Amino acid sequence: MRVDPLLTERLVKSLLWCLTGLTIFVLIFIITFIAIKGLPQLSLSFLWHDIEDMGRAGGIFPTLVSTLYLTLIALVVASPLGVGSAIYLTEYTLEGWVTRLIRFGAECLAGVPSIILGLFGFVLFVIKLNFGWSMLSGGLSLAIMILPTIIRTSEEALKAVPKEYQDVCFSLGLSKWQTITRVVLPCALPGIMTGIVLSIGRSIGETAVVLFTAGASLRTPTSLFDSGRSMAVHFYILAREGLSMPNAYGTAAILIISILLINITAYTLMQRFLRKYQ
Amino acid sequence: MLPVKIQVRELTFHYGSHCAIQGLNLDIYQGEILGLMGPAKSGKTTFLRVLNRMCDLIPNVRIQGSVRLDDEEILAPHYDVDSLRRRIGMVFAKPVPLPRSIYENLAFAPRLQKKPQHRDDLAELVENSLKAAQLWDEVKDRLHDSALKLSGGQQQRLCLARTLAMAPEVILLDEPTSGLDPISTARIEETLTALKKDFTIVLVSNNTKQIARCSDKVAFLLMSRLVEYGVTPEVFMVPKQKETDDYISGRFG
Repeated sequence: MRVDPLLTERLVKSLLWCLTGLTIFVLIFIITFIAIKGLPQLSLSFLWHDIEDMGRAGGIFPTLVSTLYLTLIALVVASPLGVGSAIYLTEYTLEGWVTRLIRFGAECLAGVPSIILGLFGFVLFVIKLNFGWSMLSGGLSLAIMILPTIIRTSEEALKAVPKEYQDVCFSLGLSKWQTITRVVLPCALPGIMTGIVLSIGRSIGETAVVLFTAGASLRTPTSLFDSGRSMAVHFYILAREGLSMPNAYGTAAILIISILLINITAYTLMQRFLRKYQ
Repeated sequence: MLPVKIQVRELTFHYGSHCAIQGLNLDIYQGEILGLMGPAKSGKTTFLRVLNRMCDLIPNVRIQGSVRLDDEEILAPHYDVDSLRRRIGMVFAKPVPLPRSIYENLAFAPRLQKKPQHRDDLAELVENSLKAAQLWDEVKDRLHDSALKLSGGQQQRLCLARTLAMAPEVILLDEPTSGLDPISTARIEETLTALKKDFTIVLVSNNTKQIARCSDKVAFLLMSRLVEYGVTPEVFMVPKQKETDDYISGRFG
């Protein structure tokens, strides 16, 4: 029996539509759920006040500061390392067993469960290097976590730059480094930025790694060596200890809104940059 | 007699175990257009890439012999290839404008060399180069538009102008009109003829008629070897070798 191709086409189309719809539905469900539970808790004082009574009352200001601190440290450490490695892998070595080994290593690192990275950060930064539970320990551990993502996305972005551009630059007498900084990197920047923005999202939402390395202090961290809890850790503790579900949802709402804002800002900046270059 | 600009002696080139050029001897005279013709895989492009050392970018190559530019060996191991490439410019088969404005495409490389010190000098350099490539009239009102919006023929003339802006001594053209329509091709050929008083030009082309129209001397490569070399009209009227005759009359290739 032959199946009518037109019918198959229609069936496949509706099936794929359903699959996509389901994916979007899950996303919308999560966001609405958090919004309904969390938005009523939000107010300016919730954002600007210190945590009181273990989180049952007061605001979440210290967790905002901690999250910002941790994410910034992770970015400042991981971005140059990641982009640098990607440049080395794509531009300065020939494809061979060394590059494959490095790439394989980066993929393994990406596959390490975050709780284990947290434990590793605890042993190395908190104990061995004696940074204590601190922003520095947490930020460095987060950097290790996001490094593989940045390397892989940057590498793909650099590889996607047409080889002809480099030929042109070399034929004009530009050195390799001039070629990379003037032509290759600007072309690859949107892709690199996507990787970095994804990493920011992961850092902000990460719980296990920072719970082990940055601690859960209620105070606002003021130096690199202060302990503090990020928004995700605060949410985790509030929910797990059953301290205050409304405040937990409020924190979750802020968490999601900030990730959303970062994505939108990065996207807008990228569009502006692209317009300049094309 | 014109002075010799580039002197090639016993040049042999291998990609791994594959021999791309074998025992090539050739003189390229200043202020002339040398046309290089030959079927695919005969070593034409490889030869161009040796002249500006772009062949360095390919792994696993072996070069023997000597290439002298103004009596200076350019195959020497520690030769400054960046400055060599500023003296020997290259235009590729496929027009590759960089994803920037027309002006920036021309200005960015000279600016990095700090050649024109002043902004006005740079603008003048851009204008002169575009005029020399016969593109100025078409783009003078939209210098700051993206170069990617130009047509294929305009893009190729832009690439030529970009090479000219570096004020090279020699220009290598690797089948510059292979992707262009006849009118754009004619404009490029006109431009080349006008340019040869200031530059030495090496033109690689699959189009034998183009070589016959544009070049002063012609070299015919076949299977990695130089088969025939001579003054263009002579080679086309009375080729000395049978292979050349077969090739230009279209019996193979």
